[in-house]
Amino acid sequence: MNEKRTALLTVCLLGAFLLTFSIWAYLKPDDAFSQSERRKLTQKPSCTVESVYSGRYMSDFEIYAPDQFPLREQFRTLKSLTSLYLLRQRDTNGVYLAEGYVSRLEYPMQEDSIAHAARRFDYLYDTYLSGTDCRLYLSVIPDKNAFLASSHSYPALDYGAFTQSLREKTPYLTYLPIGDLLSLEDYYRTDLHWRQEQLTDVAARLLEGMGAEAPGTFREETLPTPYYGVYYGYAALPMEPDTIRYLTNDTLESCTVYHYETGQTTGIYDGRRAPGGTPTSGSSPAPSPC
Amino acid sequence: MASAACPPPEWRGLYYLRSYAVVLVIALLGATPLPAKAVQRLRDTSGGGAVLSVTEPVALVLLLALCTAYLVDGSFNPFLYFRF
Repeated sequence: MNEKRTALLTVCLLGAFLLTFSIWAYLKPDDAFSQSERRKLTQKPSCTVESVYSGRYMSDFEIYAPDQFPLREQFRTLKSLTSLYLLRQRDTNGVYLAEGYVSRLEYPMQEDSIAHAARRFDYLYDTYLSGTDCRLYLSVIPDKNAFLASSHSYPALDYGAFTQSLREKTPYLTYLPIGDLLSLEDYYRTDLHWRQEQLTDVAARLLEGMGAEAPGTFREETLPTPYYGVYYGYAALPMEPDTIRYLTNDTLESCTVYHYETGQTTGIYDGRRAPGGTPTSGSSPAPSPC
Repeated sequence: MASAACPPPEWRGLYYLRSYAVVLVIALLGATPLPAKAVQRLRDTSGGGAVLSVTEPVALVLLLALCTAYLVDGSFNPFLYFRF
């Protein structure tokens, strides 16, 4: 009798779970965009005789269903919490937490990728710069892994070897080292980027190396909205957001940026873009022509 | 900046072995009759049977929720910049 009651309770609970989420998924309007992944989400595939007959409908539906599943971000958080704290895994979705920072595993070093980058630099040099009086420089920004991974027993690149390999492949570039000026605090906790307000010494080193004059003085401004970096989305864990601060002065504020794709002209800092984007999208729009 | 020598290839194997140690232990135990025997022994006791009649269905629903979470997370496909 007891076993019967247990079996009945099991069927009822599992049935309620399946029914609830099935109905919820069916009725829920599709989300257009995933903030944590910075991509458009798959929309409901059209059901036609041809798409069903060819099998394309079910293939598309399999991609669509997890993209639009109810409580998607909460389920992702449940997965991350289970992986890290119940199963004691060391990373989730390729990122790990240490000292309040989220960082991405970058290992092993991909020699092929370094060679490919060097070939592209070679192409630019041979096509446009060779024989000109341009002064050309190379500097390598280490990922925050360089300051975090080894001390927490995570595999990490040998950034010294990485830099050396790139230098050997680009002998026409004058190398300007900056690694010794950087520390973990120079990076955002939830993002891969470095923090502009921390980098005046790095900028001074680069300017000095290039024979340029040191810039004037700056004042620090803070964006009022919290910043959830790209690794926040990877980790799907409850974390305090970062704060974006940037340096400006009268000269920078009088500068304008023309965006070729949109035809708009803005200031070099566009605070409206930063909260949902990257720190760089609040300043010069990194992935767009301008 | 850390510039320790590049860890040998087997280092990565050790990292994943350590990372999945708990999963492997659970899998090893699950592949033996031990969990079933333990549950049966608990079921045979008077109090244990009553506890199991409630906890077993709840545990199964939690496992289903966890499996769903892993399936949903499998669709995670991030981009660094919005435009890409």
